[in-house]
Amino acid sequence: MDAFVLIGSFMLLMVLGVPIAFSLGLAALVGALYIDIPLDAVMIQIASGVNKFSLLAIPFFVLAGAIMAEGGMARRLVAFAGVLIGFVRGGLSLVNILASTFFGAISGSSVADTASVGSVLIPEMERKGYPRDFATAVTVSGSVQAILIPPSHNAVLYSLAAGGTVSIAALFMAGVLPGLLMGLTLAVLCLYKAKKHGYPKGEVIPLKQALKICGEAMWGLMTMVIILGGILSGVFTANESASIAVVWAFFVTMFIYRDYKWSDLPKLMHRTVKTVTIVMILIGFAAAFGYIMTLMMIPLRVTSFLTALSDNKYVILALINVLLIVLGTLMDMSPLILILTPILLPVVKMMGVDPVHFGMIMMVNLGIGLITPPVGTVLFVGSAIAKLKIGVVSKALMPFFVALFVVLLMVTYLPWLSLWLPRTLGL
Amino acid sequence: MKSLYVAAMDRLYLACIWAAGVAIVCMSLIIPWGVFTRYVLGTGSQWPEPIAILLMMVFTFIGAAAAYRANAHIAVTMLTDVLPPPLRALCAWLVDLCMAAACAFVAWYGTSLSLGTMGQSISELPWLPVGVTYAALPLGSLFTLLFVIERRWIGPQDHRRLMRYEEPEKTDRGAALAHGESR
Amino acid sequence: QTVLKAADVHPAGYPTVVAVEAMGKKLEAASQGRYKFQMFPGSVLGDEKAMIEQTQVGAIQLLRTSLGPVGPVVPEVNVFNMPFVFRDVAHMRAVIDGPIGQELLDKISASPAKIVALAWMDGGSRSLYTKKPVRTPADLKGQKIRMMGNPLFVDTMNAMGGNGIAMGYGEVFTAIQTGVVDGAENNPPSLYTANHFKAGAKYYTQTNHLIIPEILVMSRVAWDKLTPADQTLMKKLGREAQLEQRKLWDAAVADYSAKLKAEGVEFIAIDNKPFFDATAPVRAKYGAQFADLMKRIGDVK
Ligand code: NA
Ligand code: NA
Repeated sequence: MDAFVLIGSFMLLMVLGVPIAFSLGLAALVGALYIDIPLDAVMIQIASGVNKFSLLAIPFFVLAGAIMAEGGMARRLVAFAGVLIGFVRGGLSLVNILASTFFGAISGSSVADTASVGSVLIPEMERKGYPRDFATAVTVSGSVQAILIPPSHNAVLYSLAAGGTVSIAALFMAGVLPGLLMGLTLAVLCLYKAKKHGYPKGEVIPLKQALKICGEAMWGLMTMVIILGGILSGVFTANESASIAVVWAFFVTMFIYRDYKWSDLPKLMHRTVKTVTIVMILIGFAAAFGYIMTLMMIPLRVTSFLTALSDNKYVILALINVLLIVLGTLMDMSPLILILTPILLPVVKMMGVDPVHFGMIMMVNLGIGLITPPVGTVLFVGSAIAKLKIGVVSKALMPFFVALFVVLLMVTYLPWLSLWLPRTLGL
Repeated sequence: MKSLYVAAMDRLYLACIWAAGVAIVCMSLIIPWGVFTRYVLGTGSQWPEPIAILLMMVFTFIGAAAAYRANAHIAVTMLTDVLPPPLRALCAWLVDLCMAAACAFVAWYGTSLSLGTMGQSISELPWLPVGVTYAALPLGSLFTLLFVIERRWIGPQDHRRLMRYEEPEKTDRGAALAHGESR
Repeated sequence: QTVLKAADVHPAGYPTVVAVEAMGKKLEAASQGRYKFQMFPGSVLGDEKAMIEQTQVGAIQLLRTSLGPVGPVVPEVNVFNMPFVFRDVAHMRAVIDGPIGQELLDKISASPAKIVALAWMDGGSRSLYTKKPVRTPADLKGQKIRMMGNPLFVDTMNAMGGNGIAMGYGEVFTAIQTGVVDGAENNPPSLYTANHFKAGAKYYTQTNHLIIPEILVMSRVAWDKLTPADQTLMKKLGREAQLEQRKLWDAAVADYSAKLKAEGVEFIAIDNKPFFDATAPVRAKYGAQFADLMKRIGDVK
């Protein structure tokens, strides 16, 4: 009954249209009243949910990515990808995917990726003779890489939701191979489509121009080198490398690229406040919600329920994947990570699944959720940029869903894909 | 009366944006400063960590109030979108009521938490009361409540230039959505 | 039946958790089932700071906590943070079992912290672990040693001859591995579970420089709801938990020390007098306010 009160009131508030963060907070208050917990304790959880040192990395990673994306980085990464792969048949679709791989190395945001890569490449692809719905589908599915390729603030969020017991550095490194695998799988699909529909070949870029493009892109890609190099060598902590990435992104944008006006900086600040605070407050309210869940012993009850269903870890992982896919079609990634990690992690840990590996399963699965209807933020943004109906883009996405689903299966059932790199590095 | 309230809320909105913006800029400078003192000056400082966390509290709770007025919070609207207009208006009423309740609760109990912990100090910075680090929570909720009242009484403000001045002058839905970042 | 929520940052199976669970079983039996403990180990209800605040407002009824959050309200307990305030673990136990221990528990209960201190818990004895063997203060010269984030502890390490570096516990492994620090300090169970010896810190020098007891507290809100008879019972069972936890702790130290030795960690027994002498200025600087108390502790046999 107590679980029903908590989760039922959350669902009701959410369906009514109350912002998810406040639905969580209000449901936590209702749950606290129901099980007779002083409301002050809920406040302590909301405040201490945000009052955490490890949380600092999240606004920093988002801010660094935003500075890079607005400062013309996306354009340069597209050009760089064009140099590397643009000349083959269907080249622009591969450029799109590779640009997202690179973009993923400076930002963890699929929405920012779709917005900035898409606004350059969707019109360009259409001009060169690709169908607009195909171009949009490539853009939105490719952008899911940003969540896996480090840095990824969703990985930080997962580490936090796991109670800080999972190393951020290990999660970052774990995302590299699944991210590349995803890019590769999508690229194979694009090559097949290009051959079947006769999409155009691109041109080879003259060497001198190519070198200039590479040089410019390197400044931005250095962000990942700073972040990963800093964390792996132990020179910086995750927070420190994220803050240094902000300073670096600012330096590159204002002093190297110099195509962002100083007078536009307040706009950047305005946008950052609007977009990052909503994730941060979600973290606070989700902490209160999770606290009431723990007091109601919900994670424990879910664990015993799921383990009673089966003691085979592959079956349990399949069940969890189905659950995540269903919820992912309806809800956004960050609240799902915050709500579900404390419930599901004990189950899979008991089954002997590595928390880092499970983190990657969640990233891929919920990442797919970002581009599935009816609720998919990245799908919405991509459709809006392309000025296409969501239904049209969803239809064009069908083969891409199949490809991403294959990646999800591989990440789920081949743990070494996620674990080999962090293990090799001793994380 | 209404225009006076909106004008006051405009001021409050700008104050929230500036407070949050300054907070994140300072956070981004304080942490590298900690690295600098550790490697270059050879002394680990105590203060960057708690101060950065304090700024993050300001950023989060004060900034989220502004984000509410700009209608930036994530909400599920697919069910209310298909309702007939009268029912949709009812839902909007209920949502505002729930928002007001949530904000009022957090403002009230957050204040009691903040005042109750004014006597305790954090271990790294003995002069900084715990209550101060918590103050942003009730304050941000109070501001959000004022914005909720405005929304119900006068109407949503998020379409106005002030709330989306960072967007291109002639904006379309694509550009507007494209700036919904952070997922 | 009243369910009392008991919380701990340590995971299930840890000596403090086992001792409090045993206390709950005894309470259930002694109260004919009127009371029951529900254990929330492993920080599931938040970090230590959040948990003590929840105890203060009455959301958690029992909490095993370090003295860190108590220091700001009852400054006297900070005396235990002084380096070498105890000669050894036996001395520490004699102090907390005796009148000084009771006096401090009563001070905490009488403070405005809204908690009732029931019992002491053994938090172990912290010694150095480093990549290079250390026997004297001179050996520590130029070595960066991770300390807990409190100026007193950083100064302690500086006085002992090394460079104290404050750093989050979760970052220590990588920091040792990559040479950001040359070592850290903790008790054997923590050294083993945090795996820091695998990062290269294979020399465990038994300085025993910090011996800081911990406490079991009850929420004042919950305490005031107990009848005087139940309050007496709770205190009695708390005292029993204090003695029981100690046995569990000693067994854990022996167990983990053996495991560490099996993993190739070298335990270096030393005469810690030079380190004691070197830290005299730290005790003088931070301990001036409780000079009397320190003298009385020193007089305990
Ligand atoms: Na990324
Ligand atoms: Na979706």
